[in-house]
Amino acid sequence: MSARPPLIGDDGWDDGWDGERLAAAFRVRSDAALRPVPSDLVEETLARVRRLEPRRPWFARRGLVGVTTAAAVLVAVLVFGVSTLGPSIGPAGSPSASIGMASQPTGPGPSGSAPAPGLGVAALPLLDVAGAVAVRDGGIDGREIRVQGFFAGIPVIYCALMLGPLNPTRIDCAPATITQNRVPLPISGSTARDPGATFRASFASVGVPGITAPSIPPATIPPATIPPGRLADTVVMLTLVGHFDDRRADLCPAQQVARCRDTFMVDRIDAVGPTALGTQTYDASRNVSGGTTNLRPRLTPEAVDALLRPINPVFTILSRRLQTANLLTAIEPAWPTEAPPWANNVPADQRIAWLVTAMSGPDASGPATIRTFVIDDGTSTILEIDRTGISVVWVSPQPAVSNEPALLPPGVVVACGELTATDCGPAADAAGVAVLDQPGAVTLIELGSGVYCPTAGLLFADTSCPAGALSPVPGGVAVGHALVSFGDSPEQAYLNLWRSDGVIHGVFIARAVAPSAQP
Amino acid sequence: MVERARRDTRIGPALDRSLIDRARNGDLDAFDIIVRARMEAVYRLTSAILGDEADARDAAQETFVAAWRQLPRLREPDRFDAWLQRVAVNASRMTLRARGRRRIREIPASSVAAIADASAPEPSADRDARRLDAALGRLPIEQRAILVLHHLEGRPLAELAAILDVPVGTAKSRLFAARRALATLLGRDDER
Repeated sequence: MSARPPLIGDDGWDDGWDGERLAAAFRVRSDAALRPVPSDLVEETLARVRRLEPRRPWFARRGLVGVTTAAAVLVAVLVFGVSTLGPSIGPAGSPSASIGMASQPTGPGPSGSAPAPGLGVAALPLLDVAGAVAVRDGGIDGREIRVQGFFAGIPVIYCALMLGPLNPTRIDCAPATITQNRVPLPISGSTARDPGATFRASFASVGVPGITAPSIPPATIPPATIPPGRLADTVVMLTLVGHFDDRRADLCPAQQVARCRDTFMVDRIDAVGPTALGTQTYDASRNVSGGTTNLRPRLTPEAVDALLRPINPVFTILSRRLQTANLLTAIEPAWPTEAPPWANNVPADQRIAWLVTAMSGPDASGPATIRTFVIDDGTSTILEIDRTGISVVWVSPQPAVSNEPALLPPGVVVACGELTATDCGPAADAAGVAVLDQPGAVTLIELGSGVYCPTAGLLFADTSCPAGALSPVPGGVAVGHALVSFGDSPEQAYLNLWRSDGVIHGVFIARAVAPSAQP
Repeated sequence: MVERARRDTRIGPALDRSLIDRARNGDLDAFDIIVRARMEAVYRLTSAILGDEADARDAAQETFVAAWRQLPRLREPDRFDAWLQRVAVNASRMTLRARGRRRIREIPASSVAAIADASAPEPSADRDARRLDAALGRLPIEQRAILVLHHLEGRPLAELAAILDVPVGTAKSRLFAARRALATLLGRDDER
């Protein structure tokens, strides 16, 4: 099919849809969709705004270092004297580039995958620490930034008295002031001990360089860059990619939320000194097991990246964190401890999970933002975690285990819903087979545990269908439902799923355009 | 050239500059006035982009929450309205993204009945609107937004450029690309 030709004059198209017709259609559509502004919308909106933290004035807290409550994580401080430090700062052997010059690191690490120049991470402007602090103090702003500063002091602290769930943004663990004292300043002069602008950074996603080096290839830090065991005495310039105002800050205890938001969550160590690193994998299990690891992931880092590609082909994978699933609570406070979203019988401490941070943008539509995915190594189940919670996305086909769909064409996204990993693949296959006679290419199959009940006046997802309303497969039992989307149609197919003789079947009910949500 | 039928492009009386400055400095009372003055325009825009009342409501609310957070970084207070609409477009995008994760939907049987009764004649304007709705639903949110702003709100290129924070030439090329994509989808519909 050929694309419609371009415009004729300023406003006319030879597709029969001139400006007037288009505007009229827009008006009808808009009038149909738009009702008067809901009476409570203004008040509800204002109530939300009032609940927000009071905005912070620009630069109001420059250089602030607090000392407060207990928490557990790794603490590090990036320091940089914006106006006082010269280009030669740093002890012998350490990098000597000037922040002000914002020198670009050179080349990828030994086995990392560096983004193409001008794309991905390289598209982020390189800020100095003062610039990052300005972003932090400019209001709630979770945009992804790239910042270069000096890393000094590695106070690895575990707070035995920590209260509440772990949260990677809580790095106020006493005594936070140690960071000021651990700043080696190798130059003399009256300002020599002034670290300049500072911010606190959490390396929970990527590991503290030199201390929690990953064991899953590729290696994180080139051995020659940081002498083993000497990092505490070394000032190293790092280029980091990350953000303030992390979503997890909202889960800090109420009185600490503001402070948690000030934590810079490191999503990627982009360079150590002048040496650029590729996308790294941090083995968090190694960190807690004294430097050894028993993780034997089935997936390779490249396979993990490939799993996410159908979700957004232009994702920049910033970093990967590998751990047993029971350790996810240490970095994701919202992670359920009792019933993981991929419910099955494999114990969490025997299940390997990848936590992947992927970046979209920056582009014309706005600044760069990140999305966080958890991938179950055993089943390739993909979950996304955001401010609203955890949702399930499962991408096909990535053949790994027999429970995954084998009949669907590439690119079809399957949301498993409440179905178990065992049922998800066969159910998706059954849904795909049941809509083979439907026009259009399947793009999305959303599965769930309820069955659609075609009663008079309503089709709804429920398991309590009136007797006689359904025509089950003889001898079968209900498994759930499927909602199938097609790439070139607003209509969706509605199916119920039944298991008969151990095989899941899809029963087509209707094809319809989803109506607007009811108030 | 066909003269475009336009809606009133005003989004309300111009806001007092001092009001915006006060809001930028954290004055909630000033922001309260802004929300009341601009909610209708923002809700209209998010409705037109999203075509769904509940989503439009969420996006409108998110618009003002984001605006409150980002106001200190507003570089040109005199262009507050264009900036606010840009925030609304972004909020619509985020809402749409969240909507994509819905797992279970309810559908009234009347929708199914409507499919069965599709052979019944339908007024041309309603048919156009339905086809437009279906085509818009397949466009990226950026293209949807620029089409809504231009063809529904009647925004000229200069205002589009201000809202999108891009040069006029860029706005023009984006509008052209969006219009071409829409034409392709509408044409595909014609061929069925």
